[in-house]
Amino acid sequence: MIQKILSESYCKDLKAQIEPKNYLSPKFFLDSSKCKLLFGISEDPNFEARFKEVLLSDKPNLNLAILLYESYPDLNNLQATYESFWAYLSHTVFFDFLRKGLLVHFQAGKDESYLKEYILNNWFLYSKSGSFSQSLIMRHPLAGLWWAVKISKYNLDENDDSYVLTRILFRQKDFYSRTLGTYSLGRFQPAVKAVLEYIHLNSVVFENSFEEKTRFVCKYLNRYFGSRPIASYSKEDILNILTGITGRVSSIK
Amino acid sequence: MKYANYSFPYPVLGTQSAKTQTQNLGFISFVKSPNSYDIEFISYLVNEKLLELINNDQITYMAHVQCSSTLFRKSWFFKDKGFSIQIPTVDLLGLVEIDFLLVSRVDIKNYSNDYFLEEYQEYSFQINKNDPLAVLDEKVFDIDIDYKNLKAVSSIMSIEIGETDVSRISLEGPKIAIKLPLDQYQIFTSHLNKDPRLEPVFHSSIVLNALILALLKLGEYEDNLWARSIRYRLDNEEELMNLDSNDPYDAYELAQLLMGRPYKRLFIGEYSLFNTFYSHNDDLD
Repeated sequence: MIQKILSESYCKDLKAQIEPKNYLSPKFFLDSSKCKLLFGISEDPNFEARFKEVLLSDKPNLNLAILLYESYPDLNNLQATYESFWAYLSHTVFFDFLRKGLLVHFQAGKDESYLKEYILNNWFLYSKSGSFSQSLIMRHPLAGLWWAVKISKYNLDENDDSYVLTRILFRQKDFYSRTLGTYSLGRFQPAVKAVLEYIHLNSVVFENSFEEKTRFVCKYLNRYFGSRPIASYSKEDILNILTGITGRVSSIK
Repeated sequence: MKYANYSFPYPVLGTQSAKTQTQNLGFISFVKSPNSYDIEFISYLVNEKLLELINNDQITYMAHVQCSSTLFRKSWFFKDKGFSIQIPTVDLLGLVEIDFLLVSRVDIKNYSNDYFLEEYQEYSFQINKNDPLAVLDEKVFDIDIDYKNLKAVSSIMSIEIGETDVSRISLEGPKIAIKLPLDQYQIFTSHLNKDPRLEPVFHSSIVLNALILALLKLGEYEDNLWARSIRYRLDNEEELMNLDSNDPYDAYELAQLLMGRPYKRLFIGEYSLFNTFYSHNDDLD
């Protein structure tokens, strides 16, 4: 079955008419007559069943990301930024999953404007400034998962296990959604893979203080490439740079 | 990345550390085709030392394209002074940063060059592999802007049917919309826009007025495509750079320059009023 998405005008209307009570209910009424088809992309008929299994697994976030990516491997870069695509998923198959997060804030007594903002950030690709960016995508609860797999997965000719590096990226949520994923080096795949391979090769060093060490590594590279054209460097070049700072990384507590 | 104003630890041609900082070193052009963005790079480099290093395969031209909205970042390396690349339309969205550099492919010992500022002339530098040696051009393109047809009025303005009996202007959409009453709109579509003799009249009256208003409101509509297209021209065309679109007198002048001098076309040229109303044999009196 061809994948459905919201029409742009419907998506805009939903955003303009957010009522938190509609998002706290167990099911959202979506007007299917206002949805469109995303030709070339198919819906996975078993997605809901696989989704339930994933939520029960020991690493639900990682497994959900892989499921999402494997369900939509043919999305092109442009389609993977469509708000109308992610908003369709968030109002249908992921509605209850996202609602649980909203319920926590509702039960904590957050006011209506907070809840509206939460809905905008989680059900839609929303930015206050109106500008669309890498950090907006990577921080989104669904789009961020898909893109995190996209930037970290090995191609078949690189490794038999596609997700060796993806598992490292998901060791800590901020790593893909706040640091490596949102830095400008996050959009250069050889750099992403170099950082993750460096952690893989130095697993003993990264056994503890993972967050502090990965933050240091990302900041170091960000500074290093502040005046150098990162895209002229190969993955091996970047790995060599990182190898040179292993002593400093090890000393971080 | 803004290389031109960056202070490198060694002199880089095309930046503040070089004598020839303002020299035109290269050019990037960006054109949208049906399925791809076609980007051309042309180098005007004449520096003998750098040309020698290119010939010896020690340095290469590098094209670098990145787009934050689609997490796209890629580079291409070339030895020729002119080259082009194609990027599928599905890979880019919004703002695209493009750099045209010369980078080293090997470590270079004792690098020195004529372009160094006087205070560096007696020094030589250790250049590492991947270090930039020249910034030939760097630009930011907005992929929604039709750069190829930027000067065509139709790229920023549309004529639409209005709902009132006077003409109105709407700045809310991607184009400046001139909304004509239905009867006027019908005459416009059936006759006026098909007769090139009437274009100078139409441009110097209805279109020019709308553009002046739009220029005065430019700051309020920064995100709209028409405003981004005009802003690009204001920032990149030399004769427009020193005029302030917020100033009504400047806006009057800017509108004429943006439209290719419609008053001049009204008075002089093949389709001018003069040629339309007076045959070549007629006397003005």
